[in-house]
Amino acid sequence: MPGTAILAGLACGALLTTAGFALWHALRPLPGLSQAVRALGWLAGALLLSGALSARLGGGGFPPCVPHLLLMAALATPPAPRFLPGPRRSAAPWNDFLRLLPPLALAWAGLLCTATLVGGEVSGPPVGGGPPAQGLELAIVVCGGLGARALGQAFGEIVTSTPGVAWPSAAAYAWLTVLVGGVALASLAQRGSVWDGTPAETGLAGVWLAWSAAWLSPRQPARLRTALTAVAAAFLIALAARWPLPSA
Amino acid sequence: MEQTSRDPWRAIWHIANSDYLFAGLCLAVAAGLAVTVWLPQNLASDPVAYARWLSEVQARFGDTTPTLQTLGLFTVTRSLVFRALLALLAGCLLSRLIEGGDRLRQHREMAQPAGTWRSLVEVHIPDVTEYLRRQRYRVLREPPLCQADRWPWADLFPLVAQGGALLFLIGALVAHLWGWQVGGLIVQSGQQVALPGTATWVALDGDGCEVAHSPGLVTFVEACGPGVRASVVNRAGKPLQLQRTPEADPVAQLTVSLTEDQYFAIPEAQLIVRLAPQPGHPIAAHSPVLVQVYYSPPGRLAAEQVVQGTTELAVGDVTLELVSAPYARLTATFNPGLWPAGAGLVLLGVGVLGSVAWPARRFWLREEGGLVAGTGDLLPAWVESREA
Repeated sequence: MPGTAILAGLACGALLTTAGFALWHALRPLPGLSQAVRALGWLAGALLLSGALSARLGGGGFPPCVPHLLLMAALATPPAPRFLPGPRRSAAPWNDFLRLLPPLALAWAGLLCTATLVGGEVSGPPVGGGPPAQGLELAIVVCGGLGARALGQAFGEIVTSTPGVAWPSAAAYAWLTVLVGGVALASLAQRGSVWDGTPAETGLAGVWLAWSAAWLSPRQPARLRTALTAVAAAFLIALAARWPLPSA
Repeated sequence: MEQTSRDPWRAIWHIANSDYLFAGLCLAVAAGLAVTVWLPQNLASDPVAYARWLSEVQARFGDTTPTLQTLGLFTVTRSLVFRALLALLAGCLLSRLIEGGDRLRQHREMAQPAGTWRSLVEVHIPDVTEYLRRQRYRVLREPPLCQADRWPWADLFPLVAQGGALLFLIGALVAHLWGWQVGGLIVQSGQQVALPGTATWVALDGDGCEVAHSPGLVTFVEACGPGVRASVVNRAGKPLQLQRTPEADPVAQLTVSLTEDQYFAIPEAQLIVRLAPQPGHPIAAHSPVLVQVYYSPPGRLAAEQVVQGTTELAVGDVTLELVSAPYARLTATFNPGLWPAGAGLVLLGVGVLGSVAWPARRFWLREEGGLVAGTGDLLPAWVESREA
């Protein structure tokens, strides 16, 4: 348990430093600072991933939201690999800073949950379910991580008013489509009905529809599309953090 | 031109096809679904379940419960407004499908340019056309306009997605109109149960593992647990009668499912038998069963044993024979819209994933007075050079 808290604390510190350097680079560009931001981003991502694994596998009795929040932050923190398209040169420094805001919020939320547990006050729903349920849980949290990346990208687009890179949003939406479609098809084959009316399934369908509103309407103004994507991504993150959802 | 724009049917068609309406409908349905995540929905069909739901809701929301109930927030997916939204969405999808099909049919013709024109520096249309053709763009020219498509067939994917969504909604409508679902059905091994109000049946095999049912049904095992088939004989081998309640007819053999503690009496031997799942064990089809036999009167314990499988238990002059008969709690569904809904989901997935992987990347170039302007999804290098 303390190991998870220490890792989460270190990750939050690294993430805060990364965000600070990124802001500095956005306000007053200096040579070498973008490389430092990249390196620190990878370090923070690795620490967050270790924290998530420790919370999940360490058996410290954490509520599921702790590994979920840390894993989502871990997926949203590292800079994009070089082979993927990056933002436009003019918007890149601000983009580097703004895309770190969602993982920063997620990591700090995870750290706060850990700290509350150390105080002995939290008792969340137990982590359980068979391999299919755990596989679905992991898939949804990964989707939430991609959603956090898309949210950060959307912040960048809204603030800098320049179209950003499309791949985080596309990846999150594609993954969400596979998840929602897979769950619906499995339910149709097993139960004969698409949804059994549980909050988890309806929530997933709701997020997918909201994202579809942004994605499948290409003639909308870019700003509206970005805002819709941001709303859908925020809802997806909330859903993934609380998964498996208790009955409403 | 002016006449066509004033045509009300054309205006309605444009509205039905607009991205704003489609996005608005998607968001409205998504908002309805989001409400169901936070507010417990009243899906209960029997009075007991409704009473349980109501007491939970009143405990959680207190005085605001009647207001929320009046607003229909506990029955969102059953509300007329939600169904009307789905119907409008289906109409919108149909009109978009027709419009998209028409556009696809005319794919060799140049589309109407959309978006804001930007002036491009150091771009010469003949050179660019050659470059784009080498990059496998499809280039259509109608001087002074030029249209380039990265993937000309990309328009097909939104159509597939819209067709899939429409098919899915049709499947859901068919299921709603002609389908039914029976939940909480308890079936014991070796038993065949007729579903009320239908000519269909479900049955569980002797091991309690396999469910058989009428053709066209889909069954889902929600839970399974132990059950017992009990019979009693006296010392002479004569079967004794068993009774579940004082009003029930005596029977020689009794089958009980241990969804909860079960009791029956052996009036001729003045015994009461209690059967319960053995505490501390996970509930499964063949989990152990606690059997307690009491004298009646005075209620004194005569025998107690944990049994598993087929067992004989002697109590005084009688022998209790217990045969394992596991039960399953099933949901049986008849969904005539199963195949359209399934095919719709597959098409929807293929269409959405296709449009994510190969979006319709299209741009137009225009040459006027030696200056070149462009609109649409322009090449990043042009936009970057313009910003620089």
